[in-house]
Amino acid sequence: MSATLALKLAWRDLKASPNLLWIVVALALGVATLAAVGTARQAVLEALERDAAVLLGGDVALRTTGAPIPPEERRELVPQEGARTADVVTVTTILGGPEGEDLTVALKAVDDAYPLYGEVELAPAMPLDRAFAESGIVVAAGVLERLDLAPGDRVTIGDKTFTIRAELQAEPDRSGGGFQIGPRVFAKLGDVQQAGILRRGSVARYAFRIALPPETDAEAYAARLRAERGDRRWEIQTATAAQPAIQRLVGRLATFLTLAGLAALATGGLGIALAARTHLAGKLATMATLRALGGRPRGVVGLYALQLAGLGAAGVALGLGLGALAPLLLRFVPTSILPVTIDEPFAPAALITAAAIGALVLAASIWLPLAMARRVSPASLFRGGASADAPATWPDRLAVAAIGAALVALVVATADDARLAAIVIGCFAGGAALLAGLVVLLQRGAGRLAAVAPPRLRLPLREIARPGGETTPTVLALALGLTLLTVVGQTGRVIDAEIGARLPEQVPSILFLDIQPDMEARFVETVEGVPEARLLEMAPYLRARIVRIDGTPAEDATIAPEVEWTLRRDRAITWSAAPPTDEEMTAGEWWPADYEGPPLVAVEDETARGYGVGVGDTLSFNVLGRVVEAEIAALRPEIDPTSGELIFLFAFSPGLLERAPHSFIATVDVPDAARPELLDALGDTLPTVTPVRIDEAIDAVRNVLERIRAAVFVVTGLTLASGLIVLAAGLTAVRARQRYAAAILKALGARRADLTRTFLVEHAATGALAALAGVLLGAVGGWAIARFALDLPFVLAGGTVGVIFVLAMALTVGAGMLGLARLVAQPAQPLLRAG
Amino acid sequence: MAPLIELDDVHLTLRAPGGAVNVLAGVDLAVEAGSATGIVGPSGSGKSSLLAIIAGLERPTSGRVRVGGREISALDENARADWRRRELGILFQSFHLIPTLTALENVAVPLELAGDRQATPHARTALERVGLDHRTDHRPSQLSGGEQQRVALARALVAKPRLVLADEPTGNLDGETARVVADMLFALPREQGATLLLITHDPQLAGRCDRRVRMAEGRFVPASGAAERAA
Ligand SMILES: Nc1ncnc2c1ncn2[C@@H]1O[C@H](COP(=O)(O)OP(=O)(O)OP(=O)(O)O)[C@@H](O)[C@H]1O
Ligand SMILES: [Mg+2]
Repeated sequence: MSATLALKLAWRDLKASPNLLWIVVALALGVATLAAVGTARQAVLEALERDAAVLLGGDVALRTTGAPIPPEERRELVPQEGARTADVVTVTTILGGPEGEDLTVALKAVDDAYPLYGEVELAPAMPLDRAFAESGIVVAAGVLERLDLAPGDRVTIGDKTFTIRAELQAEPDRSGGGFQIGPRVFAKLGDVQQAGILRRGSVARYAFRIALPPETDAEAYAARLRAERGDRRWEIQTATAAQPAIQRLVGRLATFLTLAGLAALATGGLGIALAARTHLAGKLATMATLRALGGRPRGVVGLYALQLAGLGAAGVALGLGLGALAPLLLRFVPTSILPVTIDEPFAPAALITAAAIGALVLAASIWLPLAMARRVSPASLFRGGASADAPATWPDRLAVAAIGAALVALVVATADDARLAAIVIGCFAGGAALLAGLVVLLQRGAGRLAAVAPPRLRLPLREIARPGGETTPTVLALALGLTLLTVVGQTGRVIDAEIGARLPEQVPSILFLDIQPDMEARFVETVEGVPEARLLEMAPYLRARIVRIDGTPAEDATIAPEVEWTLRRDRAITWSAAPPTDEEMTAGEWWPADYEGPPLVAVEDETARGYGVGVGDTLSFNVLGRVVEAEIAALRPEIDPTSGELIFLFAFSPGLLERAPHSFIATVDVPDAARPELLDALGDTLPTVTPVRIDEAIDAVRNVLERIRAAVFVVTGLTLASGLIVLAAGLTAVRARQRYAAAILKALGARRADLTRTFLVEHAATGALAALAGVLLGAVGGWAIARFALDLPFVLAGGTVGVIFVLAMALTVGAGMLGLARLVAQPAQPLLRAG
Repeated sequence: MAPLIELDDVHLTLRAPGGAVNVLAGVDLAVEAGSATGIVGPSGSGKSSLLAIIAGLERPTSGRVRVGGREISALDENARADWRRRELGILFQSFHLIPTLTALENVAVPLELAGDRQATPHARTALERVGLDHRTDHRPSQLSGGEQQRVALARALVAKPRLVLADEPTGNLDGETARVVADMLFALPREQGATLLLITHDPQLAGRCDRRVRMAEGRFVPASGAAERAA
């Protein structure tokens, strides 16, 4: 066949069947997602690495809670010539305005050496030390507005008055991964020390940052410190490993989004297969004719293979272009979430992977249709036309399976979390197989039913029973799209429910931190002075880190994954002579009220089990730099987060700890109307006590979750869009078949209503199957994610699932109806004349 | 008695990319109930188009078409469908079997549309009568041209129509099968009082009709010697 004839035929086809362009769209969507996620991932990780020292604020940071590292120890810590050091203290506190208004803020108190790396940018522009002169402070954008203040206005922190000098534009050592309540405020460390909020035992975090001379290996230095100082008196962080939380988050998110992109591609692949099949089925007669006229099979089918591959290549190219540009949007992500700036994201490896995956999906989806076309013999021309319904041969099925295997291998090999990728792909394939089985069952059932159904229903049932064709892929694609949507909706519900459950029923509206021991009586008095306020709980409070579990260093102990978090940072501990009221120990016994021996500890049941310890074993805690070993005296029942009680995993016998510098923590329930009165009263008598609005803290958590959910919904939307493309391709295929059948039926005396019923039953049945299977699988998937990935109790999102189901039904039936009206109204004769 | 089919100065003009085609150019025709009429004429003369107009599938550009005393083109679409379902059996030149249904299912369709509970057994009998009881579960693409034609014939006759329109019913059949099929067709007027209108190029088949008309260039022309001789 000449090249001109080939081109002419290919061009005519494209003009005649615009739905071939779905191939371009489907591939472009999926490849764009993969390319964008891959590029963004690499860009973010590179930026994190580049800015690591700036983000940490030094090459190494030693962190303590409650008290700084004493000066004599510091000298030993920094032996090197040329090393610079800086002290940074962060503490949650209250910024009081001149009119008595207040705002919970995250105060960062810094010394003259700060920042060791990077720059603080202020507006109006000025150096930090000028802003700090004469008790000056710097506040984050938004603070002025919220308190209706202007630079030059005076505010109070603790019992000291400050003057606002500037607004913060850029903070080099943004925490990013860490959690922060309220906007940032900068002040000079010396001034903050005078404000009285940094007494020993207060909930301040101290960082002693070190900038090592160039060419010094920070890791080796940190390793030596760890080795020499044994019991981890401080949390030692190095710049290279400073952002593990963000790195882990980026990796997780990238894996998840990649999988969503793959789901979009897989669904899109079904659409491509459908579009290709419909297209080629319509060309069978042409192909048979060309071959009967002497065209070689390879040449004739090759023509169409080239046509489809060309469209696919266009889709992949378009996807790569979009995907490479999309990460530029990262610039608009607020620095509170992503603390680094992204320059020009370009990740050739990610693009190549995305292109390869796209190409494999294309190959897998057009292989069978092309093989079908190749098998058509010219002899079929003599038997009333060729049929596209012959089942695929085993070699072809094997070939597609091989392409699929290559695809899976590529995906798993390039994923951040190969295990997760493999599991999700397995679930996806399992779901698809299950659905395909369901479709076969539906068809068999409809076939059986057609034999016995009332005559008018037989035709509709036979339409469903019709083997092969577009039903299976259409149902599959739609159902899988719906499955993903349901999983996301369902997971969102589970997380919401969890937040709801964690919200104590009896919400203590304010949590008070930093009540010094000598203030205890005055605090209680002041609260009692406000009639509407009710003191719910008050407990002594310290932060401590577990360093040894029954003699084994914590980092070497085997810990159940669900309690690993308890070791990552220091935890709140308390002590009490009497056991909590109404509490039965699950093992052991609380100490007698007059106990005065060596420290005993009561441990929450689940935590103890996670550590593999029980009554009689020991736990060692680092309390303000001292290691305290305590014997486990009792196991306490799991603390119900809905009770509104303060959660202490570890409660000690009084004695030793009482003598450590500590503070009290208290929860107070107060109606909104009486809150200002209470805060005013406390502000007058105890200015250094820090109230934390619990609703604000919860809002902050919710905010972060909302953002993640939004991102997830966008990507899921992409998958569903691919599902819809398949639906469109499927409907086109259905339509082509139905048009002709409708014309014949009309000639045989079918009324419009007969036709509508016939085709509507088909749409409704397949739509219902897809919708039902989709939401059921989605609910199961949501359950599995809640149970195994999030470890949260499952709550069925009945409303969401119902809405998705109804929408899906409406969509399939609606989309079916849309074309149906035209189909039923079309005159029969033109089609019959042509036939 | 008024004729069953009455055509009065029927014109049909079809628009095609190359310009309008005058397919029918003033056709007058009257067919008595219970008769067998044969239409002959060269390819492209408008025979199939005439059948489509009588079946109510095509609207004439002008002229009147009355079947059974009713103006077909004045009926609405559903009324035409009901009439076709109840009274008409039609066999297309290119068969038009529904590709996704088996032979048996194709034949059962008219009965199922009419709500006949015995659709399948009746369809099976009809297939037996055209000699295809061994091909009931094949789909059209798995049947030979002649077999497809016989399935289409069984479908046209299965609901015992009052009027049968057959476009070249034996065009693809060998002599013996053609004779069997023709016998079936001509038994209809005899046994059921049905009316038969058929198009054929086969002089022998045309010869068995009560009456023959010849078409050329979209109108009836005086019967030629050949057609008369075949009589
Ligand atoms: N859609 C159309 N548009 C324009 N002209 C058409 C169309 N369909 C058919 N024709 C023309 O109408 C004329 C009559 O066609 P028809 O099928 O009625 O002929 P026929 O007598 O049945 O021929 P044959 O014996 O070959 O079956 C032909 O010239 C044909 O080219
Ligand atoms: Mg014809």
